[in-house]
Amino acid sequence: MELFNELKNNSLQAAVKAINTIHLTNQPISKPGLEKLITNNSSPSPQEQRLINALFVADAADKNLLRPVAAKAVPIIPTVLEMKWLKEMLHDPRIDCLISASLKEKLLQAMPQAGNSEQHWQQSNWNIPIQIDKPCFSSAAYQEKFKTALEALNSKHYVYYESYDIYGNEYKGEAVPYKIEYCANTNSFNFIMWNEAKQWTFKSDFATITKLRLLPQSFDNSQLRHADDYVERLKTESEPIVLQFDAAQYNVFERCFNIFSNYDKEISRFDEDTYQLKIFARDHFDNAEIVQNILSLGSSIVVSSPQKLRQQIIAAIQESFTR
Amino acid sequence: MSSKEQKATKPSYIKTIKLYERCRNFIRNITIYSYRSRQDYKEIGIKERTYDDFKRIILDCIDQGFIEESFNGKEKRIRFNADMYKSSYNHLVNTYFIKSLPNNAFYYILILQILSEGDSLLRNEIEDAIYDKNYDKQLDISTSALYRAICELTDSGMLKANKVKNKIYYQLADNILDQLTTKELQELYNAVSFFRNASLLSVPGYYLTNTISQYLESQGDDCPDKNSFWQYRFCNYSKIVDDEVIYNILQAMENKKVLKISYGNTIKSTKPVPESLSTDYPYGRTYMLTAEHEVKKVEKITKIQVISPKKVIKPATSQKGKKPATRKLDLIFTFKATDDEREVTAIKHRLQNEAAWMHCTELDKEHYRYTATVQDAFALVPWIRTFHKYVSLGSDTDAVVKERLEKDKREALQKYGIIQ
Repeated sequence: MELFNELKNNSLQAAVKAINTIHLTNQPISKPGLEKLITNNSSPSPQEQRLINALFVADAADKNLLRPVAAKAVPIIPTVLEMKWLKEMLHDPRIDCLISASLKEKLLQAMPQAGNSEQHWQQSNWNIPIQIDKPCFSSAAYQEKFKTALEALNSKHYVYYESYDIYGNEYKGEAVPYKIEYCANTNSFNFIMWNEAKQWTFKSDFATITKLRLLPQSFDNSQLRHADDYVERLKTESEPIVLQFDAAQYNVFERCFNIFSNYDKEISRFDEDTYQLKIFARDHFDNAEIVQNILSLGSSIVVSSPQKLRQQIIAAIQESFTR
Repeated sequence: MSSKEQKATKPSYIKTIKLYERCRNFIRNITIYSYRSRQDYKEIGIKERTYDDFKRIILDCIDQGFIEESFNGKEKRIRFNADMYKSSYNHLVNTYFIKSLPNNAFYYILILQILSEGDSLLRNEIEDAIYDKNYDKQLDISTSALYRAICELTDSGMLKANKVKNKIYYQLADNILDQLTTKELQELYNAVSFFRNASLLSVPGYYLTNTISQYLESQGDDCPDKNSFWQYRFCNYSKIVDDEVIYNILQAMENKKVLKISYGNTIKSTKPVPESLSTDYPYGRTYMLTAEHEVKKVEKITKIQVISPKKVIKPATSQKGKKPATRKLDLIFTFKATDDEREVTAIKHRLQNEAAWMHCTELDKEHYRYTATVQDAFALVPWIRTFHKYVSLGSDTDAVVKERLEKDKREALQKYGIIQ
């Protein structure tokens, strides 16, 4: 099976969805409504028109409405490609943190036995191999914390937490679970929570959470919106980072774009080889990572602003030169 | 329908693409190098007309807000607007949902509907059932197109074929999702949502979340939010554009085949034997490691143009190994009492995680020596730079590496105007 596959075409999938919705609700659909769904709001292509003509007929009770030719739902079955990918997932060391042992067992038993699940994939951080099967992922205590966090996120319940940071500070309290962040570089997970009283979000590495308990009281989406607004404000209130680089230098162009590719950014070209990259980061969360990235690029890039960051980089290089 | 009406409903451009490879480079460009204008694309070999077509397709398939057009003077640019904090859903995956449909794509749906109640039918029985359903519509039923659709569905694993007395019966494949409760399906959905951005291949994960979501919906259950509560660092969005290439490499490795590839701007193709894949996160790059000669050859996947597995490889009888050259790495970390305490703690924490593979010796309370023998010390230079003033190079470090790092520091200070 090809990865880029017509079976996954948007219009075809929309037709399946329309048929199954009509089958479930027994409510036929208007022609414009169906066209909108299948064409994603544009005029139908000949293939899309053919799909509509072949799969739908006018409803007997109301000729302005359409219903499927065959009065049966379309079965939804994962393809062999999805099953193979799922099999890889079930063999990943992180899976035990994400699903229950009973579900894993059920899926493994239903999985076709044939096929090689060895992927020959090495992941590295700055060319240093990353340990994917970290011992913490198989620790019962770690898995329990992770599943409590997942349950709190799914059921929208407050949590009680106790944790510490690398500097030895201890934290505890009640919070709204907001997100789980995965860092590919370190192969670690952070639990992001929203502190209602202080109106800020904070992160705790799961490895440093000593206690995590689900509380009986639930919260609504407005709490999550407050957290979203706070995270967005962090970006708009942080001064953009402006970097300048000379693309004529070996490989710098590609490295610079790739290393900052996940940030919201603006790029302008001064002349043939000089570019300016404006990064809209969240100083509170991203500063340490951005400083590391800038330092890693060495003399290839120059920080134009903010001045504080420029001075920080100059001091770091200067001290390493003279120390 | 009058010709005028036909013209009004006919889209002015094609919304789908036949081969992903054709627009892969363009999608990467708008994702990473978002400053480029129509003229800039022409300079890198993408003609104006092709640019216009690709641009319309991309704007059409990626949700508003994640792709935007802006002006730089008179020049229009499009850029992919990604922000992991806002959305963990990689909208670039939508470019995999626009594969061109054949004229008779409706067969896929009709066949699945006909077989939905567990019947096991012969090809001609499926054809008769389709004919019955479409009797009033007088559709042209093409036997060959129907057979192609059955084969495609069988190849995709959605149908299974059983041979009984020289006759092939087709029925629906066993559906793993039928065995799960709603709660389990939602649990699985969350797990798949995480792995789809953290796996070697992302696209099958996105396909699977869509399948689970559609399955839940067809049962009358709530469909999970496609933008889940996961958030990522260093999982580069643009990596997804190479999924098709990586998939082909994995297929070749699994089936012990060779690849026929064109690399970069070279038209001449080569036939490497893929051995493994490797991803380095800070740059979001994936490499193919091949075993063509004595030394493993590393090639950037992003520059592979054509992939076509050709022949079965005979198992290697011997490893004629010329030992790869190695270099010494000797790093001295210095922490003084006057250094910022928080910064020192953070650096030591990083060393615990990132330098665990090196041999560490405590020289005294202020100095720690980390040593290792590596194949490519230059590849570690960016990592070494991130430790800035805390790291210096010990006497055992290869002289060329030492020289490179020192020269680079001097150049950086010159650029900042600190030294002449």
